[in-house]
Amino acid sequence: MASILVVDDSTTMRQMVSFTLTSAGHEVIETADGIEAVEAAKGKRFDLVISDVNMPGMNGIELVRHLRTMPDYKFVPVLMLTTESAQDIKQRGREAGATGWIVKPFSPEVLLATLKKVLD
Amino acid sequence: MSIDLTRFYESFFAESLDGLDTAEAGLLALEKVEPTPERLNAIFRGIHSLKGSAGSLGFNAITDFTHHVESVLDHLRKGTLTPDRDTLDVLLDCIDYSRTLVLAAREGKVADVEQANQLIASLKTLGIPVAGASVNIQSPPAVITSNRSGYHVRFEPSSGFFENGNDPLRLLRVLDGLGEMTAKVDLSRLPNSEEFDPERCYLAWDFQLLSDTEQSEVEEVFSWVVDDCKLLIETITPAAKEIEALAPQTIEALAPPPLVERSREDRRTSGRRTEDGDNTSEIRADRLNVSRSKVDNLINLVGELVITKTMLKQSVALLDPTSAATLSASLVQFERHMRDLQEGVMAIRMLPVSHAFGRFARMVRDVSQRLGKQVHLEISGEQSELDKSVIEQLVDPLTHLVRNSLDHGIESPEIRRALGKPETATLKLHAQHKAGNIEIMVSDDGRGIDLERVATKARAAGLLREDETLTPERTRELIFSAGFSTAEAVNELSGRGVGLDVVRKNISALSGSIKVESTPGHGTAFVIRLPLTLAIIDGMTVSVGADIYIVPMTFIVECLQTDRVKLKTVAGRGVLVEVRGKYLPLLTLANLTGATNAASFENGLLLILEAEGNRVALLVDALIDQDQVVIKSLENNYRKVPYLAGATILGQGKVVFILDVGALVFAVRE
Repeated sequence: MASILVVDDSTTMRQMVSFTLTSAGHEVIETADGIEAVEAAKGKRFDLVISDVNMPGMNGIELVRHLRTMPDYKFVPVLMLTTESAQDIKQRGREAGATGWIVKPFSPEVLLATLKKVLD
Repeated sequence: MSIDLTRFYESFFAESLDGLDTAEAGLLALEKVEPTPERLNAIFRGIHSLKGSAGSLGFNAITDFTHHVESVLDHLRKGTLTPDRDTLDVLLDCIDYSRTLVLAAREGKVADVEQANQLIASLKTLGIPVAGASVNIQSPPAVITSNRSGYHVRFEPSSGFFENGNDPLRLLRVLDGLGEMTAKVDLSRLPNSEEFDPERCYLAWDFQLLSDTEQSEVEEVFSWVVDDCKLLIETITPAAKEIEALAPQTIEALAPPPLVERSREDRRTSGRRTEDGDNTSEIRADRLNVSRSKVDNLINLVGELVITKTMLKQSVALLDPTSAATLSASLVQFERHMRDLQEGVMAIRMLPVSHAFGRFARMVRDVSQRLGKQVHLEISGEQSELDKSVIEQLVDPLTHLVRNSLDHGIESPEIRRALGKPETATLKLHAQHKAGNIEIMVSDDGRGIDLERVATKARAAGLLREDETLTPERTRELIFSAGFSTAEAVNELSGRGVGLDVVRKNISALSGSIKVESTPGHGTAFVIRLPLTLAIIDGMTVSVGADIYIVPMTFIVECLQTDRVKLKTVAGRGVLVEVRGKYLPLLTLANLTGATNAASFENGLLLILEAEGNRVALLVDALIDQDQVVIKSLENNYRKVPYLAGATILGQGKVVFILDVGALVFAVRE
């Protein structure tokens, strides 16, 4: 059981991810964009962050970049969950410090399997 | 694990429709304003999110279609496509169709596929590659990436490749799955046995992949190892395929310049996105999606609490003031908190009126185009907030008024030019708060209401006697009569037998009023006044005989003592009272509701009520109190009762009725 921060501007996606994770016994906090996520991350050290890329305000790439400047989040795994599959964006995600990339549409199985790999 | 996805449907449908509205509004705005990256991104995001969520929920028709739209929007975003009129037309149609798809999904139906194909074809005519098309817009010398015969892939993992948990074999298997693959291993980096470190990677490969797959799919295979290896993917043209045996360098020479080095440069053929400039000012607060029934329930509970508070207050009033001083003081504080709570809860349901105004940009654009008129829509005050249910019920009347204006009010550009008016007419939608109400104005600078013509029509329709003369105010009121329309020709837009009488009826049902102002030749303005919410109103408690009623404050003009007015009986019109030179019908509840009548005219009071521009005098015995009352629907709890707008519970727990002033005034006027 891990505590996970989920960041997505789409309520539907947030609910789906959140439901998948809580069903698997994890504790989930949802936020709707990067700025909120940073706020949440300041208050608590999550075991894992799962973030969308294309969001208003602070997008997912900027979020990872910002998280990596926070001492608590230097090594916390950050998974990008997004429809973006273009290489340059993945590359930017990696450079910013993202740990992995899951392309939507996501299936609960893939999400949980990736999670296990990253958390173990 | 398997998850019942249906639980996410409701939120998906609501969110998708919102997103499409945003995208639509954004596209419409592009006709007028500079397409900034923020604006374009917001449009893109509406479709992008829809595609993502739909895919995850298995709505494949939506995903497939929006994918095409998304890639066109992506070009718009990158500036490789300009948002000219044709482009916007097609994209707006696509938004419409996406909406149809979402609605169809909600109904569990399948949308018309033919239309999707037509739209995708239209998207392709926009002069840019849509998904699956074949031109790489990034490289000017048009690297053809589809319909290839195959690829040559040079894959050289870094020596630390294994350290990151990567496995070349896995990649090879995936690559093999894409087509007919031959692999040649390159052992040149292999050191001698003394230097050999089993944890290092020394191998490299050259693959020949014969396949029709998109290059992007080949790239995808290596996506996560890209900076842990040297990778070269080059296309093999049919000519080059015949000389497979040639070294890569030769192939490069034969087919210039298909060599694409794996780098941070983007080479994706389509559907490529960046988040450049993804910094819209639209910063969202932490949002909750709560079902409407929960909020309604909360509002009901607050209503109950308001009633309990009133009961408590009345009980405290009966106590000895000195001994109950502390209790009284606490009660004052309780009341204040109660009011704050009530406002807070009501605010949950308040939405900016832009939710109703938003749709008109599109409608005005489409309708004026069809009518060959030039119309500029000006929206102001759209941030004024209004109860969600009021907004929903406001859409139809507003639609009618806007259509009316486009159809009858605004002249054709030729006529306007001849009249010395600017060819482009202005249609204004304006909202503002006024003393606990909201005022919404729909106005245009068109031809105005022709009073002559109205009178003639009214006579012809039997609404007026031949000899009856009218004040301009009264004439304008006529246009709200049932069966009245000055439309010369019945047309698609306004002449469907629905007149302004229906608009007025709808507005009245919201406890509101509508008036019209007009200057012939200069324009018309319809002004709608509405209470901010339907759940709690300010009401005057009055007694009539043995009964108590509530009269909504919005309808009360004034209150007069009966000795200040004169009674007059007019044949055919019943009893009238003269108030400052004007004769108003006297309304007694007995003859309409069968209720007990006021004790006597002499000892009573007259409430002057106004609804739909008509005034009547209601005879009551006394005014008891003025307070906020919580409206309980009679239809939901009992059945619709004529002349009653609802019921409420007073402090003592007594149920009293709220008068439907609109209906009463209407009945008396009839």
